[in-house]
Amino acid sequence: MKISERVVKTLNELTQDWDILDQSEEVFIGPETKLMEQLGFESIDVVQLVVALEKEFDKKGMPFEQLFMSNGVYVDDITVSDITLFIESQL
Amino acid sequence: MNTAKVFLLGIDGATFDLLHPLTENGTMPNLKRIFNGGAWAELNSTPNPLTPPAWISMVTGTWPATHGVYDFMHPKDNDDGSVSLRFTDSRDILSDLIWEIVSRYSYKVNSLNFYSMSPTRKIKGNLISGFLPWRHLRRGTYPSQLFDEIKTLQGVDIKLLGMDMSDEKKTVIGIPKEEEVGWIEQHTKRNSSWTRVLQHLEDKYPSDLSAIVYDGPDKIQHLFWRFMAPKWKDQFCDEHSQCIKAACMKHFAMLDKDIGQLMETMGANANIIVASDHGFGDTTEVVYLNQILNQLGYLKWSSQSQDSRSLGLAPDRLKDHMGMIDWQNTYLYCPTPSSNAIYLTKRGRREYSNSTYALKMTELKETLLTFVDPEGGKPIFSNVDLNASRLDGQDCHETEPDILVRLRDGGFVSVLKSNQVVKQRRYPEGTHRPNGVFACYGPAFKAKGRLESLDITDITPIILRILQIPKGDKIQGNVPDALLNEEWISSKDHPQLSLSITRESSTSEEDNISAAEKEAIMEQLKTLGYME
Repeated sequence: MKISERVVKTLNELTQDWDILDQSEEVFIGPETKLMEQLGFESIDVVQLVVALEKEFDKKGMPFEQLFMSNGVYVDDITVSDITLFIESQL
Repeated sequence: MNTAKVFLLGIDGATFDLLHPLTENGTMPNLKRIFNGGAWAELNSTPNPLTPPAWISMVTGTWPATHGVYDFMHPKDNDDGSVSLRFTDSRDILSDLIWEIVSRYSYKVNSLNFYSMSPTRKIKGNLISGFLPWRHLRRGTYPSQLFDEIKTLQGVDIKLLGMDMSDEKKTVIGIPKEEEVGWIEQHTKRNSSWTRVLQHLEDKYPSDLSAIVYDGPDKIQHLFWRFMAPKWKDQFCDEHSQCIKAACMKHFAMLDKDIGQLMETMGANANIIVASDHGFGDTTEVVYLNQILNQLGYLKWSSQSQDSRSLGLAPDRLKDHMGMIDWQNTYLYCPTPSSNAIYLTKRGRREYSNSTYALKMTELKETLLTFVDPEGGKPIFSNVDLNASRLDGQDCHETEPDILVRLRDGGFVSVLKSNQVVKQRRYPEGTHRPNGVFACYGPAFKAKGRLESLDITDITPIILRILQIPKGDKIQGNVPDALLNEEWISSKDHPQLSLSITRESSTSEEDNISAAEKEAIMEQLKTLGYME
């Protein structure tokens, strides 16, 4: 399975119980999906996403701050493809 | 099989200072039955009496230097010399959990709401981790399909089982007055939801070791200590205070009802162990540890850092406060308010290399112990502990602090910048104390009445002994002399060793017990007469 597909799979598993799935308009997670805006991520969800991705790719301690911070400031949002690119750079 | 049954009843933050009056005045009759019918003692917590190290010490039988957990978050050095904070999860626990150990002996486990059990490890039984938002509870549930079963369970609101982050923020930044009673009632309902889940599990999947943590008391005591503590409660008597007191009393009364229901569920022959991760007491002031390190020349604030304008540390600022430090010019820092710890930065480690480390740390210890509050002129720190292993030049976990401090009022530090190093709180608030609660009740216990204090690491070996499982060399706790009724224990069937239960989340190398460990276990079993 490609890295991008494994990232989407992880996100689908992570969000499977969220209220977002009860909404009439189902969100299909794809490369351009934004975590905060479209999936309703909060900071604690990001923490759990990091754990889930590290488990999926069997690599603990990846420097996710590089993904979530820019010039010492937290970014407003990230897309699925941002995550894929980051994981690719770490494997 | 005629085996023993153990019920570990965890109450986060429980203190005899509250529980004794509540059992005596009739609010908690079931707990009174345990105290009066069995034995009780103070339980010494971890050096920093905090949920993560303490609960992990309790369920591993090892101290933080062995299991590696010190705080909710741990610092990680970045390549550029700065520091990031990472949340602690079960992968950071370096010791075996008691659920894993007893599973290896074919005992069945039901474990609910213990800190940092996610990602879950493979056990023989069921587990739902504590301290997880409900949206992530499936990942903290073992086996994961149990989540669907619990979700549809009558009388259980799955959202109540999770840790609500907005709710958690309120414990730090405060609750609007009009929401306070509702907030307490929510925690009362939450306790009952966990009770319902354990009743269901015990009905459907009876266990040999059943364990639950009620975390409502800790949260309520943090915010409303002054309305409950014997020392303060009579000073707060207005109408609103009376409502808060009534809601708090109801919380403890309902908790006792939950305890009574679970005692019934576990059966008359269950061996009950009541334990808290730490005690509770007052905090009346805020000490700005990083500000002190700044004044002493060990820490430099970055240009964008601002003075703390309030006593509280808003969670939104928690993620940002590491940006308040100029890492290139900082040697020592405190990473989180709950840590009460000081760590060396990358630069600090370079400057204070092996030959000067002990000298510098000892110098800083002396400086801190004599550091006085500029207004009162009295020392702020009651204790400053250096890391003995590091002083000896031994390798330590990255998560292990260089220094642990204890404040004169027993509280936790602030990590923010401030124009004063100590500020008085508006009201006395609740904070942790090292002396928690232990009580035991059931046929496996011989001791009665008040006992000498136990260590938090003793809980695991006590449970193992009741279940006739060898303690092994790695466990640091002990079974106190004359606590157990050995005759009753030996009348029970011996456990069967099963080597198939191992960590689900580990790598294949770690996945199986090593040959040496197998041999050691076999050796222990032979010694104890369980194996030929």
